[in-house]
Amino acid sequence: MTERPVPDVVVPLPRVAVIDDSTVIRGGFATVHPGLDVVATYASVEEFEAMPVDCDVVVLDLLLRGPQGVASSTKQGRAAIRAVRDLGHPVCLYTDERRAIVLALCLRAGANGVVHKSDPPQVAVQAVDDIRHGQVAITQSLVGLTEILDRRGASLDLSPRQRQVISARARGRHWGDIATTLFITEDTAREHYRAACTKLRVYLQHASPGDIERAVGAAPGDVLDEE
Amino acid sequence: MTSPSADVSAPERTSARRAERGIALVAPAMRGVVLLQIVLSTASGVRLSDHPSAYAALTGAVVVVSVTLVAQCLLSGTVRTGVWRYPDLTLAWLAIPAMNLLLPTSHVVGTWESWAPGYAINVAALAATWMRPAVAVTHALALGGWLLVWTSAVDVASWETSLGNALTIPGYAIVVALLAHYLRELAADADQSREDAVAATRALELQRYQLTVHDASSILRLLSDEETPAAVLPGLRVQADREARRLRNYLSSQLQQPSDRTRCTVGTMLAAALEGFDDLPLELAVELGAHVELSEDVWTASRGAVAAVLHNARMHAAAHQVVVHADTDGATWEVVVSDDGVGFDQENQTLGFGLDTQVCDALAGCGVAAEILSSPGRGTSVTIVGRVGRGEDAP
Repeated sequence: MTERPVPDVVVPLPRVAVIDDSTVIRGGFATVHPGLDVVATYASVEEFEAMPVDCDVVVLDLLLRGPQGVASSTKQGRAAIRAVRDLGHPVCLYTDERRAIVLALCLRAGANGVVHKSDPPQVAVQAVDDIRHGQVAITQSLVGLTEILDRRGASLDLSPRQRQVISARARGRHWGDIATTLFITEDTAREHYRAACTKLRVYLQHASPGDIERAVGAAPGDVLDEE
Repeated sequence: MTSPSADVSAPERTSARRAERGIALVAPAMRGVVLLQIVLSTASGVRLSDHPSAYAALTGAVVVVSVTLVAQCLLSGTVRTGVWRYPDLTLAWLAIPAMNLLLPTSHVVGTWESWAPGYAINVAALAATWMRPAVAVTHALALGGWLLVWTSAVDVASWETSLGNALTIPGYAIVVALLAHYLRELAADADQSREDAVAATRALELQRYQLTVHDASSILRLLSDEETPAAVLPGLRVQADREARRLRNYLSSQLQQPSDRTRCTVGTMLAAALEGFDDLPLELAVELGAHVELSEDVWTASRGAVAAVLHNARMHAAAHQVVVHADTDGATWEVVVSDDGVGFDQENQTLGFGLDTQVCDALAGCGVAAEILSSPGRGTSVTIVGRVGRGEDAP
């Protein structure tokens, strides 16, 4: 009996639009991330709003400076996130901002994930792919925030396993070590992690600013002031 | 900075030398007493002797050898060298039959005119100080037998008296051999203990030296390396300045402690430890444990340990991310430093000085536990755990 040849399955690369005020990043993003199909790049959200393209995910810089280098002259931060979300696109933040409370507010504003510019390219590719498939991609800073929120009584509703995985990841443990410690496979550990990340985003989108303030230990009004 | 080896002088076997000198003082004293008794009875012996010249010559030989013994022992400080030793033995063996031949039979046993037995006892005893113990005892037994043979021959004393006199020779030899052996062993033990103490002091000083210069050496290496990225230099300069201050404190024997205004908490400890590591891809999650208060020694040891781990990560890990996490459950506090770098094989690779001494040993010294987990491709994770409120007991 002869085996029938299995046809090669071509998985289309995630199509992304990059919005970043840095010429270097706009020019080099596709080269550095060959696992992504960069369909367009923009210097501002306004440009994207003017000439939107069809894409799976918008990779968005958190701090965008206007044509004169003035940040306040263009949409940025949570306003930029909301603008892109309003156009129906999932948003992956591409930033070096690491303050957990700022990133949490970005998730609250509708971002689907965060990647740091200093992360290895494969991390960004994986995050975009996760977001394309409806998942949440968070950075180490937000893993720590998830643990803090859970420990301080925020209603994340994590399962015991999800709590264990988040706790280990917050400590920087390798997936293999986590799997060994919990007697599960790495894939299972990653599933628990993804589920916890999704719960974090849901919590942030539905919790009141006061709840978040209490959970992260911010002063009353801090979160509200940033709204 | 003084090198560790220069601080401690080479150990000398002073106890052994002093023990030897002590034996070399006792031996001439013993001989002096015997010699005095011989000299006091010489005139009487000469008068009684059938061959006064021979008797006087034999006594004169003993006096010469004994004076040589006294002089050489006092000058050299040891009984183990000297030209007197074999002439002394020879005279002891010759004098015993000579007394039978030179003195009237009635004076051969129990008088100091017949000084040969007393002299033989002394010779055998002193031989026990410079011969090997077994040889000395064997010699003394033989000399005792030699005396027994010759005193029995004159038939002026009971065999019990002759035997008793003969046994005195090995008896004293055994006692002196035991004493000399014990004294020398005691001195050797004392010298060994001193050498051990010196070696331990050297090792301790070396460890302190390594602890002091280990981090500084890696900073200097990076500063001198032309390939060190420019972005790393500002952090390195901050650390170099801190290391310079620490080395100055080391020279003045002061340990680096938190300043008076610094509260000793996990948070301030980590802030001090992280100073100058801005070039590392640090991810901090310390809110859960930052408030925990530490004792000063735990603060200092932990700061050094965390800094050593970060130096290690900088030098060896090639990490994309270094997580510093702090937490507490109320009873214990925990700091975890994990990197996603190359890791190492814990089963086949021993820990370097940084992880072994600066982390594990230094923390154990103040009751804080440290656990290192690493494997190739999985990075390295160091977990530090101490008790809240007390640094004495490891959890």
